[in-house]
Amino acid sequence: MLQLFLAAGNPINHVTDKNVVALTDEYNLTLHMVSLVVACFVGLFVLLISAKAIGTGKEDLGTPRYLTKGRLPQLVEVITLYLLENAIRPVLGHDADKFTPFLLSIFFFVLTCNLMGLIPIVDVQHLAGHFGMIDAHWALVGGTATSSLGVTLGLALFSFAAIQYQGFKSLGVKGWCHHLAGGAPLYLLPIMLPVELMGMIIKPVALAIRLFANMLAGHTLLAVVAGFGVTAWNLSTGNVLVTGSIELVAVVAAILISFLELFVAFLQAFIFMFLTTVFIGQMTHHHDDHSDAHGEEGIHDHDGLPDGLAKVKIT
Amino acid sequence: MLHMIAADAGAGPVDINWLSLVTTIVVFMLFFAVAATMVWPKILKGLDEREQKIREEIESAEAARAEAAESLARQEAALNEARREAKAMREQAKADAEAYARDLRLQAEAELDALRKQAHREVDVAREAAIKDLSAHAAELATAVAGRIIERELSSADQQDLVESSMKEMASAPLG
Repeated sequence: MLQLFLAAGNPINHVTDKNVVALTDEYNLTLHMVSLVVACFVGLFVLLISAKAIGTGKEDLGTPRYLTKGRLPQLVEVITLYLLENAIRPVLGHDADKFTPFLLSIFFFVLTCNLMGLIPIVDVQHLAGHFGMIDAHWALVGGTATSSLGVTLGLALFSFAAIQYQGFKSLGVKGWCHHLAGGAPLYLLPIMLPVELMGMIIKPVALAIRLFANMLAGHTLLAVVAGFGVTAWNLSTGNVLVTGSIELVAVVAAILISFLELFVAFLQAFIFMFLTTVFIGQMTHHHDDHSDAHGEEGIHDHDGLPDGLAKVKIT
Repeated sequence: MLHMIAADAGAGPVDINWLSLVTTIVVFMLFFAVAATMVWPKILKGLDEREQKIREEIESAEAARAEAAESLARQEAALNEARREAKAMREQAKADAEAYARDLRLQAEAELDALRKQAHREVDVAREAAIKDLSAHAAELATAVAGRIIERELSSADQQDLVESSMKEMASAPLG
């Protein structure tokens, strides 16, 4: 039965997208698409509940109206405050308020998708299919949507849009073009322009690939480790001690890696949001006196980070 | 079984499903639209109001603490003033009592002195009277004794002369 949970033959199969229903000859509705929609509603449901709990209550409640009741809203509040105070405001400064809703939305959306991938929803559906309740080959929803490159590229498009919006808004068309030229002399423009244009696109693409690769790799690792137990079972050595030992090690390792995946789910959501924040911050004109490598006052250089995180380097 | 399902997708892990990309854009736009209008304004407003409330409470507590410290200082000053006044009153009472006692003592001494002088005067008068009585009696006694000795009677004039001369002798003679 464990084979139902794990693709022992090829662990990658466990984490790749599956078709749910054919829409046209060319396009199919897939598990990750359905998961995206479910993650959207689950995330909104949690956030709406949290917003109600975090928001200030009626005046007749007295001081307790400022308190947040409920563990989930408190968790959302702690995360929100941390992101605001340690990532968004230090990097964006005065522009933080403008981008806060977008950045928090993208964080919680990615986080919800990542966390939903840790819940074995597909496996439960396959189990139901095994008992004849539904088609054993079919699942409607489940999997990690963010382990699909199409999904992460879609999210990265929003980051790209936000970065360029801030560039035009803060620097103006002239400043944006100057930034695109990298501040280099005109005779270097044929080199600098393609490089900067590529850099402009590579940044969000790197965001997408980083998120996709981390989520795919984590779940693949989990499938591989758990697959050891399945392989040992299938080999049927006859030696219960050997098979049992391998099964035990595989299960313990899978549990430990699941905890690691839980951490990675939060970490990757944070990194996606934080790097978007940093890229937006790099396109921000600062009204201070320091000049950067471009030689123009207030525009960040490509390697440096904005004010609050000048010494932080993200690799 | 899963192989069959995987085969349905017909794509490798790095292949881009463009429909997924479009779905992501639509779904995230929906997510962002709802969150940006119904979630984040409420949460950020709540957090700001709480921060403002905490700041006000801290400022209020600091003001109350400063006021309490000032009140304590005022009370300590008043207490010190009361102690100082009480000490002054105690010293004044002590000085008054000492002065009154001194007056009483002086008055008593004066009265005693007056009584002593009065007594001395009365003693002197009594002594003089006693001396006079004793002189008269002694004169009579001496006369009687002398008359019996000389066995003659003296006239009244002689007796008077004898008494006066005897008195003068007694007065000139030192008291024994």
